[in-house]
Amino acid sequence: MSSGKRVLVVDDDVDFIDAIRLTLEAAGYEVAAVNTAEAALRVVRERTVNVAILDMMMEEPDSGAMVAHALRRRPEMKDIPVILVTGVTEQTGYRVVTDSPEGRALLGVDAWLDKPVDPQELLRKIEALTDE
Amino acid sequence: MSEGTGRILVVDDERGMREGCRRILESDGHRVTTAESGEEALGVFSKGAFDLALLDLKMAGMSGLELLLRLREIDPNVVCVMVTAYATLETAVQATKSGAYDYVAKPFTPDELTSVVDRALPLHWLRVEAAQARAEAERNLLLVATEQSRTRTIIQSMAEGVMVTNREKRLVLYNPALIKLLGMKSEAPELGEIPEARLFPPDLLSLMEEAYNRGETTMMSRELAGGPPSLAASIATIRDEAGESLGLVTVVRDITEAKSLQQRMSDFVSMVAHELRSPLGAIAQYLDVILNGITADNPEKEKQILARCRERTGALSQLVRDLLDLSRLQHLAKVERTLAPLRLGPLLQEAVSFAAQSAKARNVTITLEAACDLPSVDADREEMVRLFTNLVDNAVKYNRDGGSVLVAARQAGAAPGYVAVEVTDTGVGMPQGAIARLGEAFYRVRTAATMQITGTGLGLSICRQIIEAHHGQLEVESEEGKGSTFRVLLPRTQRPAGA
Repeated sequence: MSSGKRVLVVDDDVDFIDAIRLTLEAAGYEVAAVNTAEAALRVVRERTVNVAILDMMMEEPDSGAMVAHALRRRPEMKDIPVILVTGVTEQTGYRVVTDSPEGRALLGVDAWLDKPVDPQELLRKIEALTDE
Repeated sequence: MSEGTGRILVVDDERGMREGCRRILESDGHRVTTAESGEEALGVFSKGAFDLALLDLKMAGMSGLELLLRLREIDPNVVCVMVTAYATLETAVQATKSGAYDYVAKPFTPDELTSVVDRALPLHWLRVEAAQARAEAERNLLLVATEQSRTRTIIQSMAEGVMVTNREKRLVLYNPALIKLLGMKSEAPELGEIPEARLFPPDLLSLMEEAYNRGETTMMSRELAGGPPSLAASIATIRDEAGESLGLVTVVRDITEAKSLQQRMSDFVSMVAHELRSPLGAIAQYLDVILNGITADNPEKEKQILARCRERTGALSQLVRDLLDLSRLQHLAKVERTLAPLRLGPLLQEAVSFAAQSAKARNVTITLEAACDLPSVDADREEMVRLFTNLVDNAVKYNRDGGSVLVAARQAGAAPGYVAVEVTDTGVGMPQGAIARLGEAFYRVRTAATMQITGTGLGLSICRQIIEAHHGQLEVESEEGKGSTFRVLLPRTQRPAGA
């Protein structure tokens, strides 16, 4: 059951993170969960991460997008798939972004899931993004 | 006075002549006054109003001609008829040139007299009517002038910028506000010139161009690019009866305030949406874990999850309460509160006892120290309970297990006339940068230590509103990891309590 793949989960809601951790661990993933964008960057510097799940709005608006952006700028991290967890439409500092190819490209994310996340859909997405 | 009859002055130095005329004219219904000399006539004339004067041309003393001129000076509407002998016919002609209406030659028959009077009187009434019409016209002109100056004053003192351009697109009028809003310093535009991009925002010019070109629209409104200040322009096309455009009236107004209000509203709504979505998302995510059987073999964990879900729904209910409170406070800010002298001691006791249960659960001790000579404050009791309950609640919530809370009330040493209530905790404290942001709606200090603590981020916002409404002050001191002190200063009752 153990895939050995590590998932980084970044969200400022401890309960949400706990629920996602339980869901992912039950599916055999290793989970690194942090509460802030800063902590997320620390994790990816120190450890291998196979996929990152980011909340769009943490301590600041757009912080999820900022993490995604920071990941994309680092050569060794630029290939980490990013799943953004947020509402269907999000008023960001840039513009109103929707879940569309353009919206995902603008924010530098590979997938977009609404909160609350359907556990089966989350697992399918992670599998698709980490299965090369 | 009936139709066709008038008030007539008869001036003649021959008594028989005077009385003869009076009898004839009075029998026709006229009212007649007589005078035997020009001097007497002037005195009578200036006292009463006469429609017609019958003047003997040749009198001793003041001549009829001179009297004619003097009478017309006093009342230009009076109609004068000269009475003369054939011998002085030439003089009579001269008199008509000087403003007499007609003459009648002596000796005359009663019919000749009445017919000349009947011809002359209508002239008087025409003159009076004309004079009245003239006076009316003058009054109207004055009104128009007043109206114009009033309109000018209104336009000059308007906060909105106003500009009128004619059919040829040339400036006809503008007011000082326009110059100010468009940020023109010394180089105000000349009347008669066509507004150019050198002085006017291109956006405004293109909107005007559009208004000139568009046939049907009579009113266009648009926000202008750029700023601050944020400007909006409304343009009305003025048309003649045939619908031809005569020009534009352009009004420019500052919408900075409205826009920032709109922005604050929209920020607030998205913050509320976020605050609702986080707990709902967490609760749903947890319930999915249980429903998917992930924790089926760990009843302890399931119970913990359900307890957290219950706690989060409690926080959601609190959020709804806080939002309603905040909206009530903002509404109340506009109306006068009824403030009554209030003793803070018993009230603080109440606030402390509300927090007792949650304090016990965390093993936090609460101590209340209220000076016995504490002056009362003029306050709304319910709001004071809310204020101090919030502060004591926070002091427990953000405390460490086994910590303590001290609630101390005394006369403010540094601020005479104020009562100070301090709520000090031994909790997580705050980074310096966070203190300035306290009281912002939904702002919560987010550190590792506060992650597990549920809150709406509205509590202090509500506290601040209550304190401000009571003309008080909130001071915060805090050290991260050590604890915080929230100091509320409230003005003491002006008269002694109970007096």
